Amino acid sequence: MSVITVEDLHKHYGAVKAVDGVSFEVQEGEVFGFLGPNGAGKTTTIETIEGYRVPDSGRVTVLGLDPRKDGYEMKERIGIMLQETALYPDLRVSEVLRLFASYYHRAVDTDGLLEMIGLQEKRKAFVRELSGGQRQRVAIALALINDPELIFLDEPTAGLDPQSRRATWNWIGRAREEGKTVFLTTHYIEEAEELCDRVAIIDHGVIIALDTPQRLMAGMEIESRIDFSIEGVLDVASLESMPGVTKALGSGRGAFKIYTPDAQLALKSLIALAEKEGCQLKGLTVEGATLEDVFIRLTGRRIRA
Amino acid sequence: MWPSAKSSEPTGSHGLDYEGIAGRVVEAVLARQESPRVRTDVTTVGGSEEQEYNVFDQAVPGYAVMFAMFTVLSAAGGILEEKERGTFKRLLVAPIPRWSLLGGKLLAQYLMGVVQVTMMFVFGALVCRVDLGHSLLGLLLITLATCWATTSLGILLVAVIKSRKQIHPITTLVILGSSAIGGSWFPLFLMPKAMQQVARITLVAWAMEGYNRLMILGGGLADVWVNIGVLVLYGAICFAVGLKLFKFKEA
Repeated sequence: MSVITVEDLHKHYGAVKAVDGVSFEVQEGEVFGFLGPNGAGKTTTIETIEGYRVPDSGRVTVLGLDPRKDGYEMKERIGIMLQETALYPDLRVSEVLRLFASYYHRAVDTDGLLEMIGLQEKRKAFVRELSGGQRQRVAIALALINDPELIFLDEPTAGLDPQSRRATWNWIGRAREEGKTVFLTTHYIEEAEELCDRVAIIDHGVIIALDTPQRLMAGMEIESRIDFSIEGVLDVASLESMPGVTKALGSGRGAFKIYTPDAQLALKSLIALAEKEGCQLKGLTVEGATLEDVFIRLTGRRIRA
Repeated sequence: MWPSAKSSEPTGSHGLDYEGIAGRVVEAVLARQESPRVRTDVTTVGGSEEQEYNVFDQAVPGYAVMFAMFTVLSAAGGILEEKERGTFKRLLVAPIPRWSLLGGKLLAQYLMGVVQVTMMFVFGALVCRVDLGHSLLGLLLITLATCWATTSLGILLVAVIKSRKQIHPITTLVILGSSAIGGSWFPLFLMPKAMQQVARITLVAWAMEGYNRLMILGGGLADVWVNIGVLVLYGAICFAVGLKLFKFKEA
């Protein structure tokens, strides 16, 4: 069952077409990601679905409701984390949670929520005393305060330290396990790969690809890179002549890189060659295709260019 | 008279007769004082012969209404501050009805306005010996109505004003302008008839007329119910128009 349906959404600001004909569906229980560089139209799209922005044209349905007509009912059932969540600096953490809980008919226990975001000791602290990561966690708690069926996260880990980012990913995973649908935007490749069941790659207001991360990467036929170093002697030419290898590079100090569309075949050949030549392979790593490669392939530039 | 002018040496370098000029100025000033162009008539209204007119009977409600007008500024400032800080956006994506969102803001400002005005009157009565008149109920009702009208005016202004930079010039103009012509600073009934009619576009005029009737003219509730009604209506219109014009969504 589709939880969000967007049909031919258009939105412009002056001469800039922020969203230029976007259509997609989000299915119940999946984590759906919008991946794209800053200014690609991610926030405009998510805020239009949330009912905060008015589109020029197009149709949006959320949980079977029209966000513009049935906004009130829709808001009761969704959770939202804005890109920049401003909180009241002079309220205590527990007060912020109680305040927002009071806006919903159905609200979860705020103590349990505090425990989940790991801020029990900070419950009496003023918001202004919290670090950026802690505030972000409060924003997460606010998105979950009404036990929503559908959660919107706009750049949930932007600017977070690796530890906080990992914690955020964990609770997004937990939300999915509980059967909630998640719609997130991100410009972090790793985040989309790690979290999303399906990813829409958006650029200049247009969706240029939409599939599971695995199929997106497989579909591009992007080569893997194998890095290693050896003790012994191997020449680049014999590496390049191995089956499944398209290119080999040597550093001259025993370190090599080989490129292959078929990492399994190339590894077999490499190991066979090393044994034949009596060399010891060291520091062997295989770098597969990433969504970054997909993005570069599709747009000709890096995502954070 | 003018000893320094007389004793100073005539500066002959430019050939000007300073002593002569000073003398003529003094003569002109004295001539004016002998036949003043402005006559001051003091009229005592409603008080007994022995009772002196207490200037605070006008000043206390005058300043109270002006302070109530300043809650306009707080109401407008509070919402624009939230808009600029981003907390308002977070409220907008929560299931809060529009009337409740603005109404909640308004209620807090309203209560503060009422407390402020009440404190002015308590101070006026205890310290300035202001005569509160015969109808405390009338005084209370006109205060409640005045604060409702000023706070609603604040909501209307915030719907029209774009940023916090614009608040101060616009609200100051509205507050001081309507205080001046509305009778906060001097009694309306001293103004020309035409001005009194113009003043009626301000809520200050309706409020001040009510206070003057109760406190200076010694009237009762029956004398001010029109004022109360107009102020309640004034507030209702401002609130409704403000609600209509307020931008809850991004374009």
